[in-house]
Amino acid sequence: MIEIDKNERIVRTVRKHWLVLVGDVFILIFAIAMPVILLVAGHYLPIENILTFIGPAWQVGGFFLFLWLTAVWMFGFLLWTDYYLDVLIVTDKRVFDIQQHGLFRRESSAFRIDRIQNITVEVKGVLQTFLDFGTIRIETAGEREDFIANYISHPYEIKKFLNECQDIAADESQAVHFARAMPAAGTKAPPQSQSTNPSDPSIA
Amino acid sequence: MFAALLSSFDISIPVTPTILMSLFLLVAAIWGVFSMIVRYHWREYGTSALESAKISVIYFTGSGILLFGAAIFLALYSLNAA
Repeated sequence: MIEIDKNERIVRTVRKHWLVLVGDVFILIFAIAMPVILLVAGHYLPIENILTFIGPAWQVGGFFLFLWLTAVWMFGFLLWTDYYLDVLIVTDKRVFDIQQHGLFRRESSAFRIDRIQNITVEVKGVLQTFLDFGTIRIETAGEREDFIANYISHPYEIKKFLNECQDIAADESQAVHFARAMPAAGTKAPPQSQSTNPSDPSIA
Repeated sequence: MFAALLSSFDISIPVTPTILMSLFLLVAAIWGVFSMIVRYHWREYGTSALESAKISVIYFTGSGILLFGAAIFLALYSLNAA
């Protein structure tokens, strides 16, 4: 579960660009094509000398084909889950960076939107420029190291969105301070003590 | 050369329905454990319940078709072997 407060609202979910999945897709295509490769290889290898079939061999072939495809299907979903759970979540208060590595390693870090000091977008090369993805670097107040997200889709749009969120957070923060200050201004001011400080402007 | 090497060995592995059934059960068990783990991840760490539900339907439908296909071939082979 994503560790957000009850009164916190997810406003945007950002994932990496689909291009990061291309390498995985090639692996899957190769894995799907593997039975065909084995079928061709079977003509050259004396499989009948090693394996003794009780029934028709094509039925055993079909059985292994479906088992293999089940394994490829599972592997595909493993890769997809890794991609799907690698996510940047923007709430109305914070930004969460969640990194999923396989199924049993997960890193989650968060920082408040009002702590953002600078957002830098880096789009390098022809591919990133034309497919509109790149790296977002966010500097936050404090000693925490910069937050870096690679291969993010539409990075300039995300930057604009984060800036808007930051402005809203700043406005809300100011409004809260103003609302706290207002009742104090409405009450009777405490009596001023006689100042003896010559630099005090109230002493004319 | 590799083919000649394989031919030179006097090995004969009988492909019986029992062996295939054991293999099927092993894959089915691995699939069951894997499915529980990925389903947990989608449910607990997913950002949208609707997305998680959709992907679960796709995953389980595809898995069902593939395992059913394997089971059909296993049944056919077992019938022919009997």
